[in-house]
Amino acid sequence: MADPFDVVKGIIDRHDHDRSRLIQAMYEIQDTLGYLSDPILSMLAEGFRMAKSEVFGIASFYPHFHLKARARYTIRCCTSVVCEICGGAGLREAIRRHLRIRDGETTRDGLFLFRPVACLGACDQAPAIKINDTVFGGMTRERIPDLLQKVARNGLEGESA
Amino acid sequence: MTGREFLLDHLAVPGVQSLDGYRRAGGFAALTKALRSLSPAEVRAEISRSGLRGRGGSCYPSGLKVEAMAQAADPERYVVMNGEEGGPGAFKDGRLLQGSPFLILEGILLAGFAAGARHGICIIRKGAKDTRCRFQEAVGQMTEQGLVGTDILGRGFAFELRVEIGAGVFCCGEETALLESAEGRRGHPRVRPPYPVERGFQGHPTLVSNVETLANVPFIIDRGADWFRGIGLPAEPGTRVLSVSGHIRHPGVYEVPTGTPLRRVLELAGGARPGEEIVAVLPGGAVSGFLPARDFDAPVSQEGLERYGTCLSSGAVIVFSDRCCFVQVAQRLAAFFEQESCGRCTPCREGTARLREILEDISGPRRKTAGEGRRDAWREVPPPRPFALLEPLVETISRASACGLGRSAGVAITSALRLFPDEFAAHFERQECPRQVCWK
Repeated sequence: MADPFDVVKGIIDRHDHDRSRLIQAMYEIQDTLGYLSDPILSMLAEGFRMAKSEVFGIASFYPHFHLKARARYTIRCCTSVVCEICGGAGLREAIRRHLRIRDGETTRDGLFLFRPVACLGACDQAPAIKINDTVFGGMTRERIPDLLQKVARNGLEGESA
Repeated sequence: MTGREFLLDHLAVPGVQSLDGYRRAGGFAALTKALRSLSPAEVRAEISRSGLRGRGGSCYPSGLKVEAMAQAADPERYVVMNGEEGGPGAFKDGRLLQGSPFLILEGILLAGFAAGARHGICIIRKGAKDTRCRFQEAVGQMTEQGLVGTDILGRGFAFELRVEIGAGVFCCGEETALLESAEGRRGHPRVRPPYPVERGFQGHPTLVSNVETLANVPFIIDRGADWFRGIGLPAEPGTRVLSVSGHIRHPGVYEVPTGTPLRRVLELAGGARPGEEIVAVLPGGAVSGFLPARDFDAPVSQEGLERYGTCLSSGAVIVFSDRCCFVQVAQRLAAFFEQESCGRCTPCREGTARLREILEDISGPRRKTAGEGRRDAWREVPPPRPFALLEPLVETISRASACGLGRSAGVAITSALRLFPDEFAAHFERQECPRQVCWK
């Protein structure tokens, strides 16, 4: 892969240093590099001509940005009403038990990060979890171990939502 | 086909997602009609006459909004599509966006033509990656075909469109917070007035519209305001697209003319699941109040539901059966608002946290073990006087908050307190959960 800093520079240039494009640029950088590291935030601040504190404020405001190296698979589990009344708590317990981690923690092998989040927007498939960008709806706690093992072994490709 | 469920009927047309398919389904007829034979003022008049109201929750007449835009002095104007749908139980906009991207885009073009705007921004929530890619593709195809650009359909109307990633945060559904986020700032709501139609995106007049509202516009222009007025209630004509979820047999998206009893919507969705009974619904998602089973004859409309002390908002119907504990439900709602509060104003940031604490304290695991094993956890929170505290707290949050998020944070909780006092009393006074959800 190209030097990450060139990648970041390229993306900032493509957005014309226009501050209304900052968030779009941050998404692009995160999609290519995985997360927004401290030096990247500095580059963004310089590129968009704003204070670094402001860039940091934006990066920490939106829950989709990661400021630390992230696990290969982020499991997001909906904690909203609809999933909750359809058995969301059981799902979370099953995930915690299977991965032996607590909320917001990463497994030791760096494979899974578990994050309870607000609504995933998949209420018609409640209860739902989301691994990276794939939604798995209508989950049951019995299916959790199988699913996580399959993802760990084969990745997410070929999985249907 | 009666034409009364025109939006979902349109989505059901095979191939309507592609540009050719959309044309075959009668697409762009409205745009052609508007550009060839109508002036912007006539399009505005048609929208006003149709009585279309915003579908995002405020129910503000769209005609007034477009007229206000047209009155603005600044020639640089924007149309922003609000696809930042993200409340619990809300997924109808996603369905519309996915089902017929060109319908929405045509709506944006028509709104732009009527309001004299030259720029359109489609903001689609972060989670919906496929939808966003498809939209980008659709805009590309339209540019190729000369439907977006400097001289649309050879009539000299110029309009450019871009697709952006929304922040995926609930509070950015509020229009000014959405604009802040589109400008590359934290999604804090602005103080209104000035409203976005006067000073919106980067200080220019901006028409912020919900996806479903925009989807209605091509139909109104194509079939005429009189046809539209013939559907549903005279005060709020048209249909409402509802996302039905929760304890229901077939969760999904349903469309009914306004004024249809809510009971009918629940029937359409298959009714209660086997062995359960529906106790209450939240007709407008987390920001509305509970509607108990005895009031299921309430009509699907903003005014109609207000009479029952709740609201339709964006039409996220969440169904609750006798299996769920409403104290736990209230706690989840409070937790949602705490998580999604943008943190700008204190009443909302702190108040929602306290609300969640009080409710968690009576429905979470620690109350049951009070004083035993988890001693320190119990000490963190002073012994609550919950009944005495909840109501004034909700009142404070709703009166002092800067935007709709805070103002509506306590609505569902107060209505739950009013409707299910026994359940709350059992938790507060006897530490029992009648439904055995919180503790067995």
